[in-house]
Amino acid sequence: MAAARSIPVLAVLNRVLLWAVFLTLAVVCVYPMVWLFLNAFKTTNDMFAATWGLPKVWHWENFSTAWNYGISRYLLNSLIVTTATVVIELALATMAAYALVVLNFRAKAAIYTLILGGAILPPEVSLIPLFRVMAETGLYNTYFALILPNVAFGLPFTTFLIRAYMTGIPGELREAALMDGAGEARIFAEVYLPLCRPILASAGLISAMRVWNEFIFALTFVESDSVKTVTIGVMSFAVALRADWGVLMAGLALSILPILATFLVMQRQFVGGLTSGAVK
Amino acid sequence: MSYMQIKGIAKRYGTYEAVRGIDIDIAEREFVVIVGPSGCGKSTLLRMIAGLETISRGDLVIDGQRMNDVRPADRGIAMVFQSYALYPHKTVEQNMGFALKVAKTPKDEAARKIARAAEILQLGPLMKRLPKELSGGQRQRVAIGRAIVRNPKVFLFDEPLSNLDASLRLQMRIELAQLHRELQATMVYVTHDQIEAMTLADKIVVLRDGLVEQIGAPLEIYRRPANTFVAGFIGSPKMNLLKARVVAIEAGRARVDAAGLLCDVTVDHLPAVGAEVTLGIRPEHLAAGPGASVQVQASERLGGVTYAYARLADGQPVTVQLDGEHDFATDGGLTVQPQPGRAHLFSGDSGLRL
Repeated sequence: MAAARSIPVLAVLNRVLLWAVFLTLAVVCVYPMVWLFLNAFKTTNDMFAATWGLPKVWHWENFSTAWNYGISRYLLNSLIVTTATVVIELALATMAAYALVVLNFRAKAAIYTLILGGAILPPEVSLIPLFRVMAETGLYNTYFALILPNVAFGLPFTTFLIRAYMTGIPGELREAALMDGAGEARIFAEVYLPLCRPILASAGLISAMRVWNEFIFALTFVESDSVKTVTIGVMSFAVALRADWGVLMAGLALSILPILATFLVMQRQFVGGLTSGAVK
Repeated sequence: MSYMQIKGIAKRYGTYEAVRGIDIDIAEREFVVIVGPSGCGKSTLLRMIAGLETISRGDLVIDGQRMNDVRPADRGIAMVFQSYALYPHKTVEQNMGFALKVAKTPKDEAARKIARAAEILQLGPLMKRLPKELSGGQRQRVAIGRAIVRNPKVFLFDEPLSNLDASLRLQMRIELAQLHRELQATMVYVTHDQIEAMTLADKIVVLRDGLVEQIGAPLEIYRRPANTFVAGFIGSPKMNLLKARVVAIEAGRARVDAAGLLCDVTVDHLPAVGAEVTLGIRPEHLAAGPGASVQVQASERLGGVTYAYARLADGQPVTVQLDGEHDFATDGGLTVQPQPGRAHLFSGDSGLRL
């Protein structure tokens, strides 16, 4: 009887502890964002008077001021760099994954290992050589100076994810398509690509988050405001607006809003992508 | 005149030879079933015919043309896969029309071909559905429909019924036989199920370890198995293969004794008196009656018939098919006698038919 009663108590305790841990983690993760969004609606004085309080007056104009101050340009640049990177990266990774999964060729395993090896290389060690390449090829201070290295450093993980997913597609589908007269290009485009839609969404989202938040290439390979992405843009923004914290917070809030919204809408794909890579 | 010739075909993977030189002649409109246990090379052979595996040695000739180096799609062959291999994101109609789309068939002609296949297979109401919305039997029909629209010279089936439950398998077997009659097409069908082989085939090819054991019409193989392997493989329940000794020879017949079970067998090659041989006798060709005593170990009463699993005096297992009404005690004794002219004799050494 005692044993029968002790089990629910333990189970409840377990749940309480689990919830306590999760809540703590959630608070740690969410509170900076809540703080940021609350203060984006305040004046500097309000902010220092009541950092955690709700704004007495909601200063929506902070956002328009930040927008007009140049954040719109940085956002557009980030959008261009992120979109281009994701599209190029997915196209290359999907084709590489297809070849690695369905085709038989010499050194296949070695090539895959080489691709995965790219994931070990930290971007920092390649900064100086890349900087020289950018300078000598005339790519420095262009969108490509950000797009190309972002694609290169994203490819290993994205290829790994998509390849893992493709190994789950039955090989008989390709054979059926071969019997139906389709060539590899058609099988890739009409059979594998549509079936890979879930992993493409996941890999695209993971890649987009990485590129949107990328800092070191954006700091090193571009300098003019016309190509600066939002991560670097808000830095100069912060320097210029040190006196106006409300507008600064509004600018920061704007800088994270697009990717935050994308993540919230597509978080299922995000988690799905990570686990599909883990299981295969 | 054979329509499709498989001449000395072999498949080598490194040092291992999965198919070791197979010769089969297939006539036009013939339904050939390749049967054998797992790993005998039957699916590999089918995949070589399809062009999905390269042929290491030998020739494949279809309608007078050597096909070894011809692309799968250009061999005039359609294949129905074990898993059906339907494109999951395409509707039934798109699945059936994919080959026609690839071949750039004019739309009205493609629509006509798809409609005809749908009519043959009664798929009309399902054309807009995705494969996941179909039952196993319907998917099977779509896979066949996809083959039909291509109007191939030869249909290949790779264990197409193995994923279906027993009743659906029976129904699909009947439908496949009807389809063969209706299409008048050449069909090569791979299975490990000897019932499918017996019921569908014009010609059965029995494979073992990458080699042909016997080729013949179903009843020919059933009545005159070439060796103990074929004898044991074709027929359900399996043929009893009993160690026996030749006790007398007279008028082209050998009298053998298997632990008290005496049997006269007509043979082509007479063994010597005293020779060790294998007596083959099917459970349905043993009857209760005065003869050898056997000890029943277990029984299965199926209603119409009863199978008694027994042992001869020397302990050799023997299965006897009895009438469903026949009364006997499980764990008791039974006397059985062979039906005259139904037993087979095989060499004790080579296992070949005598």
